[in-house]
Amino acid sequence: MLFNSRDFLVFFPVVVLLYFIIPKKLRHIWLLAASYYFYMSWNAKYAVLIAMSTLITWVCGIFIERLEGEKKSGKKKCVLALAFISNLGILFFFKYFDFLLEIINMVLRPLNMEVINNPFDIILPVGISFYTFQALGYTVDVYRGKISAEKNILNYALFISFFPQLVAGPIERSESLLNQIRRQSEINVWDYERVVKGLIMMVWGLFIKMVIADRIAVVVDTVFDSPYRYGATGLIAAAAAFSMQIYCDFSAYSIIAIGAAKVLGFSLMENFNVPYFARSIADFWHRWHISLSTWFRDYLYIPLGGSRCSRIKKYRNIMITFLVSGLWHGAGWTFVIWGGLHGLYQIVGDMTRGIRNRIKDVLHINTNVFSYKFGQVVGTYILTTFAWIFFRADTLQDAIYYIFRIFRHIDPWALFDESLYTLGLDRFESNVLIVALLVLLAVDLLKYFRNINLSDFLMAQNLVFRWIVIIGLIAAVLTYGMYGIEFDSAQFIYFEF
Amino acid sequence: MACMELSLTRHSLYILNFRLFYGDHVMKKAIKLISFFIITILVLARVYHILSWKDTYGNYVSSVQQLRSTPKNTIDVVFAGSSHCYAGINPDVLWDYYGISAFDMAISGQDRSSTYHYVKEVCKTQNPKVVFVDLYGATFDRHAVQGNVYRNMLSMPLSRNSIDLIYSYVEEDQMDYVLKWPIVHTRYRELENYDFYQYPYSTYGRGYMYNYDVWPVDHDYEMAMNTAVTEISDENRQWIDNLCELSQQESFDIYFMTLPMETTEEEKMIFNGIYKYLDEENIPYIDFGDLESTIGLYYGSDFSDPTHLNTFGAEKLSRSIGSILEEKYDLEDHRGDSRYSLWDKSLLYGQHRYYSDIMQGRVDIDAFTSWLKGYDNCYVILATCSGYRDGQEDIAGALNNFGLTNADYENGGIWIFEDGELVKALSKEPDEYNRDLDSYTTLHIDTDKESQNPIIEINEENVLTTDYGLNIIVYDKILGNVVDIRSYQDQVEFGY
Repeated sequence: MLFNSRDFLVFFPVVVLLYFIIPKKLRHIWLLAASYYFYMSWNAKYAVLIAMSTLITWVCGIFIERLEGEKKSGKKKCVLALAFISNLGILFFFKYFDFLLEIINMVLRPLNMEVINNPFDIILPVGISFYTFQALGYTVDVYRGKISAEKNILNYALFISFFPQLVAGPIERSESLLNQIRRQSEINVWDYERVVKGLIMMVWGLFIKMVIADRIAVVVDTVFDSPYRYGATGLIAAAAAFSMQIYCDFSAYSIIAIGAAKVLGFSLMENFNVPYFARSIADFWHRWHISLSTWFRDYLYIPLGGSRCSRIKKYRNIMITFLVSGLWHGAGWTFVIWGGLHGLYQIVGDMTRGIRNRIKDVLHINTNVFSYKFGQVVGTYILTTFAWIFFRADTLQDAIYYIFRIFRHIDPWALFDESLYTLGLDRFESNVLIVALLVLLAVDLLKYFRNINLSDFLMAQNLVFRWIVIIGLIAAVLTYGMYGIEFDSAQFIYFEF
Repeated sequence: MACMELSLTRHSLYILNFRLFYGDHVMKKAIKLISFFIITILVLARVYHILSWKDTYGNYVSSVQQLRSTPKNTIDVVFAGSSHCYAGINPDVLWDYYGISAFDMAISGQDRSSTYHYVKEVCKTQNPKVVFVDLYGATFDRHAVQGNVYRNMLSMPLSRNSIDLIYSYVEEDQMDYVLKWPIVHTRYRELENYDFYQYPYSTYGRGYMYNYDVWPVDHDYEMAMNTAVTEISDENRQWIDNLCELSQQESFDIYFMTLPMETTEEEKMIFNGIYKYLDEENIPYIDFGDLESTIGLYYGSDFSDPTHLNTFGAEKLSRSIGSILEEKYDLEDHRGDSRYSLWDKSLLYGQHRYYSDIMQGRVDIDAFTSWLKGYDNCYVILATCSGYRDGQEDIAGALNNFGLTNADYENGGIWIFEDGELVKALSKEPDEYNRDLDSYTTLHIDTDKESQNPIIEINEENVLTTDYGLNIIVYDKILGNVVDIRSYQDQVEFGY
């Protein structure tokens, strides 16, 4: 069930109420049952997969801990490898089998050999990329001795399947979430301020998702479905719209997840930190999908050698990490290119750092002023938006056509002849969107300059102001939200991963 | 007494323990929480009221709202059905001629399920003696127009009855229809003034929709005499039986009816099949289409389109129904009873609709202004503009009809009459003057600085149609809008 569905509106209060009432010792069992129910509402059959992944990594964790000692390091590695092979094998089959076939057929076709037809009708289990990484992260943490193996299968199963973050993150570390689960009997559920903050976050997340993301998706879908109808202005507008759509869609889910966990007394990691205020691509990846980027840093980039090696190897490590990241997002060449572009940005940025610094010195460019920093933000935004075109396009050919068309059909007059109101949203809807984006900008600026999120900010304000904002958000979601019979309740984008 | 004291002591101890243990802190939080929920619900209720379903295509008129504003147990006769019903049967006529308190519980495209449940809805607050049911709903299973689905499914207030209706008709997303908000919230795109305050006729109307359009219909007599039969379907049989059962439960007499309309062959055959069943079961019905000569219907002028009577035709049909009711029932004449004031108001509205319609036909300036002087519940604005010449006897005569003098004619000016009485006189180059004609309608009068011509606007829309001659603007207070804008131009020698 989606967070912005009626089912969740019934599910969540029931889970929370019973969670607050039942004895402490039974709470983790209740949450586990609720989490599996939540997951099975998508497709009951695939609960077997998550259960399998849970069992394998739980057993592997216990064995790895038992195999402590130098003489057994080889066996430890084998067990770790087993965990990786089995989990990645399942992930690979469900997510990349079709892509693999596509690659094989790409090779076979020019050789006039018979192509291989897909014998399976594979449906991607929702959240598989997330819980697989979370489980593997735990296994590595046990291997590295950062956390003791969890003996209680129910606790561990809850760590893997905790419903607020199960299907689209944040990808939690065992040191954080598992330890909280272990200590959950110490949680004072009756913490008024914590619960209110959590609920505020959930309402805010729903506002971002239903009022902004789903509304701006109309523009994105209209243009990306038929780019040949539009000139550069419309195409650029749609690309920018997609950059906002994916940010709002994904961050909304994370905010709701964090809020829901907070209500239950758990702290999840921040997953987005105003990423479009980043001043470089590296900075962007410190702010965007933080749980995934840190996972890749800790479990892929650093084991490959990280930046503590020769420059060539460092660049190799960066490119591998980002190509894998691209593949993680989707089984297709567009995602690979998207990941590769981000890797390339960082490599080129690193390679040219010296030259750029010299240019700044020669031209006496002041780097401590607003204009310079703003320029960095704009430049970073342009680079990320360019890459998003590949992410959104259905095929590589579509992405290339899209980009070429931007340069071939330059039409600045479209900014003045109201063409922008033909991109799927009329003037009224565009105005609603603009106002909502301004509200989002205000909240993001608050975060950027004062490092405070909306719920903390509101709780520090006077009651009347706080209630006006909260009731206003609720009314805005219920009124301007894109839901109901007239609208397709758009799935969160990252559910496909 | 001792027991009471003990109870009080125990209760006090309980409160004391509670407060000692949890403190005032928790009490304050609880009060805050409850207050927040109450305020949120109140705000959302108001927002919902604004967004709630209203028939914007039908000029915000809702028979359901009209029913809700009707005092309990005042409706004696109900006509349930579709647009044929609210176009063809005028309760105002039954009230005017017979004092019968009738009501059209009719919604566009009303389907079978809706008819049954809306009759049930009426019976919650009313005790009708007679209910007429339009058989048109039996000719289709599903609505062809989504708007009609909304009209029928979303109008009824939430209740067991409304949920039963939705689950009997809607196949998917039933909860969206039950909650309504998932559907109606999109109305933020089309909000108008009547979303914020109720359209007046929607409070006192008796379910009728006035329409004076004339469509000469080439009546198909052959089809009207077609006796071919489609055997009654199980659904229609069940529907009729359910309504008959309801009539017994609620103690009203039920008549099924078909209203004058051009039918397709399929529809005619369905009707014939139903008549056959009704005959077999001794259930009374009337085919009003068959009684055109008795009613005095004329196909050349009594229809607004081939399937709907206009108000001229509705008057004839309604009077005919009234005489049937008078013959068969001893229904009380409620005229003069203050409990039935809504019928008086509705009749007054109908009269003003009639006036506004026939007003268009009065062209002669003298006849028109003579008649207009006696028109009640209205504002009349007379404005003579520069450019007319002296000696225009017709314009002078028109002003005389309103009690203005020849001097007024010679000087020119702007005069505002309310219910026939002069309330304001302005020069023909007036200073700025504003007057609220009602809560939401403002009259603005001024002079254009360049041309020196007067400006007369109602809600910022110009209502002057000539700079040469007499302008007459009529604002009807009952109907709540401008019903006539005309001018009588000076007959200039050159050009006109």
